[in-house]
Amino acid sequence: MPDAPRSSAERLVSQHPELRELMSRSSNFRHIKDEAVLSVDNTPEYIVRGDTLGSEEDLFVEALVRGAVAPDPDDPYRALFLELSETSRSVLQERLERRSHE
Amino acid sequence: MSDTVIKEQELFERLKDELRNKVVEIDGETYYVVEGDLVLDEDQLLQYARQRYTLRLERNLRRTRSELGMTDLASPATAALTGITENGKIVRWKDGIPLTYCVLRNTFNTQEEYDFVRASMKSATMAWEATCGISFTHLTEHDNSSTTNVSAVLFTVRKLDSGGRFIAAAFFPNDPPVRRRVLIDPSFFAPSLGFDRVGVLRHELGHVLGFRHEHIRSGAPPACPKEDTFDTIDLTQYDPNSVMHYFCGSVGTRELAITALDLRGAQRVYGAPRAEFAFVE
Repeated sequence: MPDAPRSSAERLVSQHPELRELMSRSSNFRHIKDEAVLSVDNTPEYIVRGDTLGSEEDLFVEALVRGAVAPDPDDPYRALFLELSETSRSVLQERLERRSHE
Repeated sequence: MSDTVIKEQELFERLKDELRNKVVEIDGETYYVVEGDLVLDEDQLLQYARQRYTLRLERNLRRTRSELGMTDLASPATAALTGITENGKIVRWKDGIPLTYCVLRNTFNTQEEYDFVRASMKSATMAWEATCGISFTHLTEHDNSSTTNVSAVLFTVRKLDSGGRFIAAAFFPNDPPVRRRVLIDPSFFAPSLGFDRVGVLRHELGHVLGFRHEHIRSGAPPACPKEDTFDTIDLTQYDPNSVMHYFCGSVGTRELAITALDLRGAQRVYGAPRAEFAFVE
């Protein structure tokens, strides 16, 4: 049985099967994963936010966020973002706008 | 509608009126120019007005506290740093929890590397202890552990080759326990590093305390790396010299020192340094 989602990115992906499906099939994401993967104690982890480690879902959502603002269509992050359906883009947009503010 | 919302709205309308000569049209959209070079759309201007309203309230509160002879330990209005939130609450270590760590000697290639990291960690932890109400403890008896999974400490410090993809890496308080480690890449020891090594560890320990990168905030240069900012909170103003800011877009520092604004942001979350109190059992 898979672990319960821990981070907000894991919760987002688990709540939206279309995102999980894209995470599994996208060759753009496979390329991003290959660049970010690090084996720690024989367990694959991913470098996210520059200098912290996270899960595959953390990396996937981070990549989509980067892709949402990347100008270059050849950038793999942008290419991944462009794979999103309109519905998934609106899910991501909602996340981008729901930042905590004081 | 609450009194606060009405006052915010009043301030917003007043601000728009003040800026009537500083309106620009871009692609049919109306933007307002504030502080010389900040171009804000209507929604952003509303956020800006809210911040100004909050700053004014806090300034008044500080004045009142000062008149009453109360010490202002932390001034949120001028604090820097970006924190993490969960369900709208700031994530931090529980009050009084000892932030214990060990430096895994066997992961380092030489005694010199181990000694250097040990000494650098001591300096970096002392810098944070002098900044806010936290306390790190190096449990040296676990440094020679043969396993990397040391349950007796909150986190381990170890060398791990990331192929130069980071200089060092860390974790956040709400990461799973298995991820609680500070990783040191071989590039940390390279003569050509170009960053203060204690500063690098101050930065990593900032993550350990729950602070996100400063350069992900609005106001940071566009050249700085983008990150997902969901579940983060500005502990207010952007500080280009913050210990948590990368050296990017011609800002940030190579010293990675804890600035006065960092101090205020950290004290907002953790209070004043523990050394300032006489604790009574």
